[in-house]
Amino acid sequence: MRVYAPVGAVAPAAISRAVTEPTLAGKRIGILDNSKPNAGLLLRRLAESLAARTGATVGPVERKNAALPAPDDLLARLAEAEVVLTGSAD
Amino acid sequence: MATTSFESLAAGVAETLDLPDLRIVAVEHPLGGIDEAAVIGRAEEAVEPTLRLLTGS
Amino acid sequence: MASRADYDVYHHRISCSELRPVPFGLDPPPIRIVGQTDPIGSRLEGMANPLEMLDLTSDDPEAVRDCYAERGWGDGLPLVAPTPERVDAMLAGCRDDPDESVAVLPPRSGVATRRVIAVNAVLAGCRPEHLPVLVAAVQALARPEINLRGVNATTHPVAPLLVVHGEIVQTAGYNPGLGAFGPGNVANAATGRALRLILLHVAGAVPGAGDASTQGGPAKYTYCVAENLAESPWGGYAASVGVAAASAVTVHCGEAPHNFHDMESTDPAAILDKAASAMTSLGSNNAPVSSGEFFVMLCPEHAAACDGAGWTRDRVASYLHERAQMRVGDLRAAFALRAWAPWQEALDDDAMMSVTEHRGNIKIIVVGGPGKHSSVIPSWGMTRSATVPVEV
Repeated sequence: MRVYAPVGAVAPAAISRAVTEPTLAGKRIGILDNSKPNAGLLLRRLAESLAARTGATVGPVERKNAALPAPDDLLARLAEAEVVLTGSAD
Repeated sequence: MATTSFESLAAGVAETLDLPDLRIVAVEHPLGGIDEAAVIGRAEEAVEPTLRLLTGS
Repeated sequence: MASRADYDVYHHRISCSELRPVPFGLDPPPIRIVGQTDPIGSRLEGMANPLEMLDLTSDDPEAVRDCYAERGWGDGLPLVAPTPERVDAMLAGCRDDPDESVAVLPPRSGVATRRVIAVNAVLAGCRPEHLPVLVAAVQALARPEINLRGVNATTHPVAPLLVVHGEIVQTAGYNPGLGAFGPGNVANAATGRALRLILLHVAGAVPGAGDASTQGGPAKYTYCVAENLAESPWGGYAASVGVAAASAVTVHCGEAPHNFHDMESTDPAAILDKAASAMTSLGSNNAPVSSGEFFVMLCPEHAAACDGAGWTRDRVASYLHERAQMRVGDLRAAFALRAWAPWQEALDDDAMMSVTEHRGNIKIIVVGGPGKHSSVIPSWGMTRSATVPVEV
């Protein structure tokens, strides 16, 4: 007998991944801190170490509550960076 | 970035956003409740994997 | 180099006022939900929207459960087989295009058409008269102020509570009285279950893949109740928040009910002081949030005691706002990460502060039967409830 699957279609996503940079020299490493405990420190130290290693710079640095979507103006500032580091979950 | 316990969740959400190749670096769980030195240690351990993901080398 | 001292205290300056409620029918607030597409489905115009079909050797509920489980579907319980005949019967009273998008639900960006909603309604054991409630609930879930992406992603055990209001409570057999939160009533149990199945299947809020709740919770199986309008001294809740419809639903994403009782007093203050005590818990996810909502589900006898003393719904909410206060220093000591407004951050440690910024965040609904037990349902925090009409 035939039954329906329960999941339905998926709406097309309007986002795509940024390209891979062959080198980070001269690039900007942005940070989106999700404000979970120790996330800001982890991301910042990682970015600083990457910058020291490759000649990149750190910034913009943005912070938001993990439970809310990022405001458009925050995303626009971060889009100035070629690479953004952010955290997921706790 | 995700901690090891949440790595699969991050990958799953990336999949649902049609970004199966999102670059995810995992650090040891937990991140909350550990001291500053431990956080910095995790950051340093993540440098090489992050570089490889970002530049392919 | 950055150090921990840079991050010792973080005060998120944006409070829940960013998730301000929007009167139904007006444009949603300018908050973009990342990844969410047009909920009305204009992107789907011209696209075929077939639903996948599966072949089963048996329509036994256990067989459906096991077949679905192999695909990561289901809630762990036996399921009613969603055959085309059952789904068509579920849709029989539907005047709209069953394949038109009702909402797009994150994180999966799943398209909830009336047909998909009907499939999940059949799975859950709903009757056709429950479908309009479910459609309205899905519309409510997709409202920006609900913040469904956050609700699904959190490690908190939040579940959307579905409250049914108005005429459809009677006509579709929902239970607003004794045992309203369960168990036993088909409409309450099946509709709540169907909503959870929609979240699992369509929204992709599967534990470990799209739902990160650390412990999960029983409310994630079914969480549906009806308002006891007949015994409400203040009229219907939906009308009180500006939804003038014969039938309506409210979706409130919150914790399991925190019970309180008062068997002794007819003084509203004495009764509500117990509710205020339940609201002032460091264990509520609302504790570090300045503008969280609290749904206070008053049993008819507690509501009657308030009304008997001349208290209106607004007076009850105001009293609770004044009484449910906590010492600012205690909150600061408990939570380094807070979502407070700037004026709250400026308070001294010894100041007392209400658990929520505005008395309008305290919602009063009458539910239940005889007896003197009521409950408080704090929200998850970074979400606001939504009330929408039911189109029958």
